[in-house]
Order: sequence, then structure tokens, then C-alpha cells
Amino acid sequence: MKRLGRLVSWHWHLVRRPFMLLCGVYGAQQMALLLLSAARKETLGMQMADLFMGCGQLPLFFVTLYLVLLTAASATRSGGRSHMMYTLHTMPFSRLLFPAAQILLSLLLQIIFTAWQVVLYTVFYFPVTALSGRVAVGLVSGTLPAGSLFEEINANPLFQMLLPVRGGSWIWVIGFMLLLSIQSACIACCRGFRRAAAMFLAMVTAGVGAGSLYLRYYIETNKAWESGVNLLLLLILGAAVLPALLNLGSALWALYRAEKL
Amino acid sequence: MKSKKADRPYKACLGVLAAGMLVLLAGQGFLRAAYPKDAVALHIESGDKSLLDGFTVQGLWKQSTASALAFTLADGVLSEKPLFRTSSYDPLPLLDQYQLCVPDDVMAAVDERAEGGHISGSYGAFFLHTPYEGMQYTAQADTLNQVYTLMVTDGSNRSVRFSLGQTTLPEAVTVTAEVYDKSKAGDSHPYMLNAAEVANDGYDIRDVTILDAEEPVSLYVSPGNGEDGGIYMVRKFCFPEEIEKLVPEVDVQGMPVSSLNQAYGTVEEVCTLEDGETLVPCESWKNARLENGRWILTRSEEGNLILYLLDGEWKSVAKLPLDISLTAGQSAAILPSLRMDEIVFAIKNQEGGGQLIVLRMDQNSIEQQSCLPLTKDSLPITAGFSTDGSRLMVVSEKTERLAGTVPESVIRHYTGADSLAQEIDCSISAVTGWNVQVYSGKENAQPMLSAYLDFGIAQRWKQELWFSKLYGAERTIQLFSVTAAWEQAGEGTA
Repeated sequence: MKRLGRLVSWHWHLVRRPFMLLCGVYGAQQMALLLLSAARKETLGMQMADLFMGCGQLPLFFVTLYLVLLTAASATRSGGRSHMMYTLHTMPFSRLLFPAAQILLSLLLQIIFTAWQVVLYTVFYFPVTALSGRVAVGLVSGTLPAGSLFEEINANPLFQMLLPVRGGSWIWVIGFMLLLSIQSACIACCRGFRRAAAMFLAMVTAGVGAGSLYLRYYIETNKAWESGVNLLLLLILGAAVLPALLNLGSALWALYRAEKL
Repeated sequence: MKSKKADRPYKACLGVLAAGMLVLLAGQGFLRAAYPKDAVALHIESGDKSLLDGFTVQGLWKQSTASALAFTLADGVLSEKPLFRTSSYDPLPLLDQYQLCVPDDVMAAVDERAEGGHISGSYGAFFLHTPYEGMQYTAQADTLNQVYTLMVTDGSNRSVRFSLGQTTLPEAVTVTAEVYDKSKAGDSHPYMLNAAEVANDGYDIRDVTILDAEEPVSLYVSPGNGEDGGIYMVRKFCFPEEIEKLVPEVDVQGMPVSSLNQAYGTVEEVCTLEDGETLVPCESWKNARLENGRWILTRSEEGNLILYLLDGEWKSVAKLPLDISLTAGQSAAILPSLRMDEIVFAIKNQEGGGQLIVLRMDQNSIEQQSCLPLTKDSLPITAGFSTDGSRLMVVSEKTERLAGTVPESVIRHYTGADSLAQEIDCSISAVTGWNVQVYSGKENAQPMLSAYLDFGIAQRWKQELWFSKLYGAERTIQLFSVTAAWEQAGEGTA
């Protein structure tokens, strides 16, 4: 256990700078997009949650989440300090500890990234609503108050997915993150063209998994539990899990080969 | 020599994990606890606040598709709580078809006189583009079977079909049969006519209204064709496999098509309306409930209103003639009641106005009755007596006119039209509160207390201001609704 902890923290140490950079770029991008759309007359009357959805920030969150997975996987390729195959040979413990550490690292980065999104949204709430309020002056009679922060978070589908208040929905978020973490660990274990293939399969899992998370949110809020929709959800879920299984096989084989060398 | 600062990745790692988890937990806590506790305010304009004692009004503020704020005004005290689950009322998605079909035994004769020919077309788009071919025939017929089919469109495709009797029309009408190939086989049908096409022609055709779409589904069938009207309950829907076995095929120009005349599923008549009584026209009967059942309003042939008290199975328990008459063009609106033992409805005139009727029930009799005239532009959303029955409360919507201009770029953005180059003035009537008025139970001339619940201008009205103008007619969004007494039992916070 202590070894696992050390491995995770060492890998965290290796990726912390690129991860922070990614978070910073993401924050700047989100601020620019939200402020630009709040400043447009065309979006007048929209609340912040609408702006967030309208400017395409929801898919961008999941794209960046995929980049977070790649960042976590890059811990095994950091300038010679942690060459996996070499390390594996000299490690005095089981090779399986390696993907386990990567899974935990990836989970850690995803949690921090999600928390970062919550912080960003809360902070941006103030300038964005102030700006859209300024645009409204002169176009609408009377002063119209902006939606409260509570309303804005509640009305945003992303937070309905990431911070579900209804019981049972938590399992979906945790399952989604766990699936992505497994994919990230697989990328970290594979080399060469297999690594490229693993990255592609991880992309499929991230995209389809995000889709299933959204579909479930949609079904729950619209009470659209129907046999056809349920089947679709099951199919999408299968499409998210299957690449993870393929990658897992590939990664275990890579570990086995490394052991043989 | 420069000493290197020691890194402690283990601690840093745990630190960021703790910080991340803390933010997520704080977000959760925020959503559960930081709901706006002062979003609704009570302002008293005239009268004594103690007059609000004995009244409980519950309402719902729908803030987004996923969340709502429930508020309660009980004995003059306001309280709020977030509601993560919306109403427990869960109706089935229903689709009904009412057709006048040529009976199977005269089908051959009608078929002989039919004219028609080949038709073709396509449906779908892109790679789902499917062409179809078929035959369409028309003929004249005067003996028709009134067939009603009710389908549940929740994916299970179950349905029920029953006949409302055979009728012979004074003159022959045009019936159509369609026979398609495999790609559109479900749309094939023998000779028939949709009842809606001849609804206004004065024929003796019965009418069907869905009273409640919640399971078990209940229907009202109007009198006609020599039979009394009544309430029917759907006891059994049939699934497509069962229907396939039950329904025989008939020949249309030599091609087999499923008959429309075969009844399947089970409907049971639970309440018969006698002496030509008809159900009062009303948009929805959802709120017509009492503690142990339902109620309906019917109209006798002379125009007098009759209140039927029904049990949970829609069986008649008591029949109470009311001292109110309904003239042509008037309709009823059932309002959500504040107590389980009260009946609240409004009789609306065609040109607006009417009267509000509140009844306090005691078992199967009327204990107290109050009648309030309504002005042209105000329809209350709820009303009710206080616990001791000494006062009457009437709640209506308080609106405010919002005005603004839509810039040209906005119009182009939403509608895509670039010919409109000017700004358009727009306005909308936004609900900003509920007027609460308390009258003495005896004479209802002047309210003893006048107050209002203030919601402020909700953010969503802003957008609605544009949309109302851009999309033509004023759309109505319902942000605030009364929670009826019967709904409160099944609700709870998550």
C-alpha cells in the first residue's frame, strides 16, 4: 500500500506542471468564450447556464478531460526519469502495481479537474452576469435581475451530471471516471503503435461515456424511461465499456511481455 | 553549493486530492442547502395578517428543467425548500384514434364499388430514405361502425379497441382504404373515415374524452346513438403479439388487410350518466379529486349542473344537483384545491368572466358553498375555505408588463431572416407574484385582507420577452404552479 502511494505521488510530481498548465489554459479559454458570448446582443436574455451550453463549453469540458487522461498517462514518458519498461525490470514489486498507480493518478487528476470546473463556474458567474446585465440595459424596460448562482448551477446540465443531487446518479459519475482512469492506465502501459491505438480507444470511451452520462441526465429530467431509450443507453454503455476491455487486454499483454524480457 | 529544496510529493498529492474533494463536496452541499430562502416574499396591502390563519397554500417554482423550489404559506408564515423531484403525477403517453369503419359484413359490397389506384412516395431522409408503393381506394358508404382505439406510446405499443355502436348516416360519406407494401405495412387499413372529419356535420356520433391518463386510464363517452353517456375504465391493454392473433383480415381489392372492427383489450363501464346528461366541457379533470375519490360535473338536458361524487374506481357514490346552470358556450375549469375535502371550479363565459365556486364537502354532502363572480381578465388559480370555514381565500396571478426592443441582429440570429432591418418593440405579461385575497364567508363584496406573494421578475422572463415576439404569438411558460392537496402526499425532497 505504501509503495502504491509512493508511486502515485511520484507520478503526480512528474505530471503536475503540464496538468496545471492544462487547467490554466482551460480556464482562460472558458472565460474568453463565456465573456464573448455574454457580450453579444444575440444571446441577450440567456442565463449563464444557457450561455455555457450555447458556446459549446460542455463538449469542450469532455475534450479537456480526455487531455487530462493523456497528461496522466504521460507520467511514464517524462524525460527518462520514469521509463516504464526499464523501471519495471528493476522494481522489486509486482508489475500490476504500475497500472494500479496510474488508475489512481488519473482518478486524482479527474477529481481535481472537475473541482476546477466548479471553481471556474462560480468565479465566472460574477463577471458574466454583470456583462450580460449591462448589455440588457436599454433593451429591456426595468431592471431584470440575473439568475442566482444556485439557479445557474442547477440549470446547467454539466453540473447536473457532475454534482448529481438525486440518489443513485453518483454511481454513474464514479463509473464514468473509473472507466476513463482504466483507459488512461492502459495508455501508460502500452508502447509504440499500440499506445496510439490505446489513445484512440480511450477517445472512444471518453466520447461515448460522456454521451451516456448526458443521455441518462436527459432521461431522468424528462422522465423518458422507455424501452427504446433504455436499449439505446445500454448500447452506448456497451460501446464505452468495450474499448476499455480491449485496451485492458492490450495493456496486460504489454506488462507480460515486459516481464519476459 | 546550492541546496535543492526537498520535494514531498506524497503530502502534496494528498493535499490536492483533499482540496478537490472539498470543492466537490462543497458544490453538493451548496446545491442541497443554499437554495434561495427569501425568493418568495409576502406583502400585506390591507387587512390584518391574522386573517391568514387556517389557510395553507403550497406552490412550486420551476427554476429549470431539473430543479424546483417548493414554497408554503401556512397560517401566514412562508417557508421554502428545494424540490429535486417534480410531481408524482405520472400520466401515460396516450394516442387515440376515433374512426368510422365499414363493418366487415358489408365490406365486400363497398369494395366492389370502390375506385382508386396506385400511389407511391417515400419517407425518411438520407440513408434512412425508404420508398414505398401502395394502392388507395375510395368508396361511398352510409353504414359505419364507430371504433375507438387508444394506444400507449411509451414504447410498449399496447392498445385497446372498442366499438361505440353501428350507425347509419342520412347520406353516404367517402371512405378510404390504403394497402401498402412491406415498408409501410403498418399504415394499411380497410375502408374507414376519421371521425374528426365529420365531427361538425351534425351526425349522431358519440364523443370520447380521456378523463385521466394515469393508470388505470379512464374515459368519458358522450351519449348518442340511442345510448346514455358514461365513464369507462381500461382494464386491459393488449400487446402487438396478442392483437395479431385476435384481429382477422379482410380483403381490399383482393389484398388482405387487418380489420378495424375487431375489439380487443377490456374496457368496463363504471358509471352511467342517466337522462341524457353530458359531461361539462373542461380542459383537464386531473385536479377533480377528493380524499377518497374523484368527482365530475355533468349538465342535465335543461342545463343544470350536477355534481357526481365517485370513489377511487370512478363508481358513483352520490349525485348532488347544484343550484347553478350552464348556458351554451360556457365551460368549466377545475382548479387545484387547497384541502382534500374541497371542490373548486370556475364557470367561464366564452367572452371571459364567469363565476368561481368553492364547495366544502362533508362525507357525501355539501357542507358549505361559496360563489364569487369573476371579472373578465382574472381567473383565480386556486381558492379555499379556512379550517373553520369562516373565511374564503382566493389566489390569482399578479402580472407585470415587460417591454423592450429586439435589435436587428437578434432577429437575424434567431430567425435567419435578413429582410427585417429595424428594431422591433416587444412586450410580455410576466407573472411576478400571486394576489391573495381573503373574504368573509358570508358576503363576498369586499376582501377583508389583500396581500401578495412576490416572486420578483424571474430570469427566464427575459428570454421569453424576445421569444414571444420572434416566434409570433405570446408563448406561455408556467414557472409558478399551485400544488394541489392531492399532489402533496406523493411528494418529497430528495
